[in-house]
Amino acid sequence: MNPTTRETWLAGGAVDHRAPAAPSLPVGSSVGSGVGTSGRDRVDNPPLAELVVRAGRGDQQAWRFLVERYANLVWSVARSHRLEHADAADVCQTTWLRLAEHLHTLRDPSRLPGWLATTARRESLRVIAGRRRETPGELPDEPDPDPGVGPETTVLTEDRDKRLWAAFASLSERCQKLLRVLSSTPELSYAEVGSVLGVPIGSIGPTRGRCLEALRRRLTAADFTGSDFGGSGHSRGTI
Amino acid sequence: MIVDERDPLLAELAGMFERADPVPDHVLAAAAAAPEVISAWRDLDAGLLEVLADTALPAEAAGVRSGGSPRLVTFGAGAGGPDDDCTVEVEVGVEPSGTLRLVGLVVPTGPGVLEVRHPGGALRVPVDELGRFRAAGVPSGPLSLAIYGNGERTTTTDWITV
Repeated sequence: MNPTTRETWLAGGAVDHRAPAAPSLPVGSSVGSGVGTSGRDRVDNPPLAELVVRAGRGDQQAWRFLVERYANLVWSVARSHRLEHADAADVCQTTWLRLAEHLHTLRDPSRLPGWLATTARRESLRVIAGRRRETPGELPDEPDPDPGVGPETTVLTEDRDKRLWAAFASLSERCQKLLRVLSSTPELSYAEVGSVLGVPIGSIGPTRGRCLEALRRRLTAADFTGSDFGGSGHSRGTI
Repeated sequence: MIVDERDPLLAELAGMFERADPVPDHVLAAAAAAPEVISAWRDLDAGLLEVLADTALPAEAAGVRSGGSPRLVTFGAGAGGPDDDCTVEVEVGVEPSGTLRLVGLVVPTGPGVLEVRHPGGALRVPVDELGRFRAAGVPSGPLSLAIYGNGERTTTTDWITV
């Protein structure tokens, strides 16, 4: 399979990665799309149910919209497992091949994001186990000197991005994983996030809050050292 | 338009990741091409075997971590299906060059051909009368197997990463 260029497969023109507007797809009714909300907001423009049905019938454009919409989710799950680029690419490809194989049997389209995330997690664990197998001398729980989750900080040009990355990188691995997956899409239910991360559903909300708070504290602390020590109302010494 | 009532910090993180660690173009292209890979081999009459067991996933089953021993993957169909008597067991070993060696067993036994499919192509190896097969030089990455018996229906397996 010769990899096509992005320009080729995005034949319809550039599509905003985060808001895949679909000018050529009928928007359909905003309510009766048949997509469950599972108590959280779902992004249904164009309606996910329609995309799934059309892609399942072989509609290439619908398939590409699905890829455009969820590629970042699948990639983020793989990267949150600290896979390097090549391994994360394998995980993504297997996940999308699996979806292509199973799409026509998917009964509930609203579960697609969770299905993708869970499949990507499973394949990530497979790859991790496989790499261990190849290097039997390595201790399984040894800290990774080069955590794959880290972005190429050199590409970050904005100061705000750099500080945000530095603060993120100083969080616990658990927080990094949770925030990476949560930030990749608002479409996962807490149950789905729980199964992706292998933690109980009930802990997602509190952990999310704790991790975001920790990130805020670090950003604020970075501000203190970088500029003034005058201290806003948010003093670290009071805790 | 995205309805996003997330924490603004989470949205800011999302933006940072999209700039710092975006999905590579070749990953997007491979994802976009997945249906073509599938349809190139699609046989609507073929049965699909799923992963029943995989020693690389000890946490998901209640199994024991398989430290150091070769990975063993078992494919099979759910009971009652048309392929419920069919299983494929594959041991995945790593060759010195980094490619993989598959050694396995197809049940029910009988001579045939096993096709190892990967996104870049496929390779075929014989299955002997005892159901055994061996394939060398398999590239790591996504993989699916197809089993052609003697004039009987084709069976394929789900995709996994090896």
